[in-house]
Amino acid sequence: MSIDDFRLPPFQDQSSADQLDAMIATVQQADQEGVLATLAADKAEVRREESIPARVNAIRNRLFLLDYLRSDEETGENDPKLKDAIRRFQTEAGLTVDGWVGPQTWGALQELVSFEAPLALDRWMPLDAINPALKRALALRLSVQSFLANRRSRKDEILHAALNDFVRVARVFNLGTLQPDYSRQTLAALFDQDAILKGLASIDPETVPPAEKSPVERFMIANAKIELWLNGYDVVPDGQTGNHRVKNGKTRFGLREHERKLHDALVAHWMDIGQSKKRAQKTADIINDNPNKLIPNLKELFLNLLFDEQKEDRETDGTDSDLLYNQLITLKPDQQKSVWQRVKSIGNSLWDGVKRAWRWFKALIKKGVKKAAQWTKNLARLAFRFAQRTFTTVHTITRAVIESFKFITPRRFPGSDPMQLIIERDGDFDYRVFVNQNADASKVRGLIETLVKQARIFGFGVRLLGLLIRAVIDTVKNTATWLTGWFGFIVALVKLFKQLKDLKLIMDESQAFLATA
Amino acid sequence: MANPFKQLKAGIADLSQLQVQTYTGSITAHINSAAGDDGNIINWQDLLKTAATEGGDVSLVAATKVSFDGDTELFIASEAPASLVTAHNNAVAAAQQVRQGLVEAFSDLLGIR
Repeated sequence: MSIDDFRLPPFQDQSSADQLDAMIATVQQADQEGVLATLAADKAEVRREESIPARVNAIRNRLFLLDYLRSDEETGENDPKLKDAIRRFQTEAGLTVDGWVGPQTWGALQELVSFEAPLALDRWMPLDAINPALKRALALRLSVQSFLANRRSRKDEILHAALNDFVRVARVFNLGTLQPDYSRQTLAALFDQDAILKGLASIDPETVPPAEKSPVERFMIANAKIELWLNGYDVVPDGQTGNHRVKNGKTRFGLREHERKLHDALVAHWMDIGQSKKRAQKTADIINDNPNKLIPNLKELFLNLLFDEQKEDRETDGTDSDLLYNQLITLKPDQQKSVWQRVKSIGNSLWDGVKRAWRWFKALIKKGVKKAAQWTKNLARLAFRFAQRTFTTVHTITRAVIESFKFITPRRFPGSDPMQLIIERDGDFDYRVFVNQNADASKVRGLIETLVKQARIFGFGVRLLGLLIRAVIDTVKNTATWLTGWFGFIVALVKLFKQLKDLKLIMDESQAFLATA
Repeated sequence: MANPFKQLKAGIADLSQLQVQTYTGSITAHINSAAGDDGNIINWQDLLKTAATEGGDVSLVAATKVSFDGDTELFIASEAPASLVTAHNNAVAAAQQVRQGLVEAFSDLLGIR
């Protein structure tokens, strides 16, 4: 059965026990088919994950960017090169070397490659000694920021020279007075893309020293690519700044491919925020045609991409996820299909740009814009992201609930020990506890605490599954028939997102429980 | 485990009140070598009889009854050690969590769905 043939169970017509069983089956199927796969929690899950191409591609791409792989291409079913690359990364990063990517290895890769994930320098640069994996990430970052021609250059003198170029440019953008070479402060500034964006938006074009004008322009062009890419536009943050000034007014057609992509992304962006096509093209042409206006023009771009910084990113508290849900359920069926196609292609890759896509989405909603070039793409990214987060919680708690049956179902609590404590239940779940007169008080306490934990996971887990069932029923009931497939499940997960905060404690307990189960 | 909730539901007749009883003493005389028909290894009938007898080898430490509307009845033996009362209270808390989950799952048993 293809992923598009799936239909949600008819929750509405079932008894509560059947609803819960159907929801557990749905969650497990979503995980097995990679609709919203979570990261492998143990080695047993790795084989399944290795069959999800989007997931493997995301790992391969990050290892390629860090130069653990020479090619981004698949090398075969077993892919020994990929496994070897994972092991080398784990060795350098100081992780357990086991050749599979679980949450720790994935988190480390994200931290080094992603523009939005915070970098924990204490971990990567203890006592000012630079970790070899961080050195690779540094070369990558310097290259996409236009300070290094080749991201594979990792010689200290080359990296020092590039870092020192960054230090000079950083001064122009008020990123602080940074120290040369491998200074923690300098590395922290280079990896803080949010601070860089604010610096780019606050530059005073009149005060750029003539000697720094060229590197400043290159830095701005490189960051225009980064920020547009993070916002979902079709441009690659490759660090290439090229000769963006094309003689004889040959704008779009005189450009090399990467320059043309930037040009087109700029046009799309200006149109998205309300400019006419003609005006958007003219604004984008300035980058190529008018050197004197390049810096102020790009400053305007960065100001726009900051959107409303004061009210930025309330994604984590979930209060605004209804905004997204309401957009998703009011899409026309063909638009829903289009968003679903995008979601499918995202697979399990957790890319950058979600914070920015969220700002972008809210700003456009505020303006009442619904036809932006990136509308479908960014809606898909946001839907996927919210659903992915919810699903991670739902999946973990579902697994914990299933585990908890081992404790809840038997007549005798499995930890019972006649020498210490016996807990038994009757058919109606009334409990009798017998404490041996010679019991060790600490052991009794430990057994009772285990029971309390199991019981809490079971109680909250059932509540969460109930909420998800309700969200699915509401989504299916209130919207077009197209939302009865996996996309409907994803939209229901978006709806559930805001209630997850209340469940954080039980999520943490479930994870700890599964780790010891 | 196929249809775990359906299996769990089988056999539950009444979720409207929760009872938890905690006993202490010598268990040896009341324990079965294998689980009985009810799945328990303690011969509760026998134990309850002994607990009701003054000077028996088993005594009731505490008993709690919680009704669906929240009314709670609590008995604690006058000389019950604090550690056993704590164990009882924690067992009640756990049983209430399980009960809450069951009510959530099978509220049709209570006629509220």
